[in-house]
Amino acid sequence: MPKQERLNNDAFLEALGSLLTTTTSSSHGSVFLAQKPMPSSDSSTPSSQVLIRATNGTATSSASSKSKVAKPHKPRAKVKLATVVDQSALENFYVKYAEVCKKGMEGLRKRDKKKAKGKAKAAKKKKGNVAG
Amino acid sequence: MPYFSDLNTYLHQSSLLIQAYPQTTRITTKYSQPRKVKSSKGTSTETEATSADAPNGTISKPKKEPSATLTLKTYHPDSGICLKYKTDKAAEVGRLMTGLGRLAKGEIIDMATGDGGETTTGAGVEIGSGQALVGTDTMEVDGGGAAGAKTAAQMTQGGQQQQSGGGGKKKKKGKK
Repeated sequence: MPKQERLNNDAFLEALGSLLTTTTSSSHGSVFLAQKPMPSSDSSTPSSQVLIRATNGTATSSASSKSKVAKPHKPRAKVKLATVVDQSALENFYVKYAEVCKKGMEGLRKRDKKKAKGKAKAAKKKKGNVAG
Repeated sequence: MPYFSDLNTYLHQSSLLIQAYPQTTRITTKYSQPRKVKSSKGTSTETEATSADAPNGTISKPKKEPSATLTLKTYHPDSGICLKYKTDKAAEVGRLMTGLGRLAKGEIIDMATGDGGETTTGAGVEIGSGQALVGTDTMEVDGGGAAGAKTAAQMTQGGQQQQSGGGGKKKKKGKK
């Protein structure tokens, strides 16, 4: 079982970025992100850190023994990343985290033209009301 | 297991869950790309001959291409509560990630605005409690009703501080 890589915040963001771009460029795949409060000590004191994990969710090569037919696409290495973010650095980290996700998740549907027109109309109406 | 229809609802419910169980709740985000590469055109024409669905004739692709999806889950293992939200819009990613950031801090997210204002005392007790006290002090001074005025004043860039939101409306009518 491949071990998780515990990285610092910046290295994690970089690795997450490349993970998202590789997934977007390939025909199919997934990226799993998880966040949860990290128990800072054994006692029941509330945490001040958040654990963030990212993985590409590829099954390891154990599945190949099951199927006789060899799969055409290359077996991808399972990627597991983790980082711990301190409460003070959370805001800063999340700003960059959001940017990385927005850039990397290019496969998502962009705004429809119709919706964009509707939004523009709504924006105009709003402006008119506020200005007076 | 239902998915939430609205972004703000999901964030609001998640913040409530995190308030209740700050240590055990976790949030997962899944970005998946279910694109299926369709095979050669020969097979598609055969299927079209049999099925009367395709209006165009040659192209069997549906108008909307299956795009990547983003699924969020707020999960509490003890009770089995699982809040889910799914989207395929790039515009919502930014809002969701910002929301997750606030949830990670333990902020309360309102239904209407989707903005957090105060920090809870659950997570980050030592740091958060000081901020929470400050927040409550200002709230008490302004009063409950004036809370809306405060936000309205911020929006108008401190035009009218003491008057309530009604004052702003009057101004609009006057200008007309």
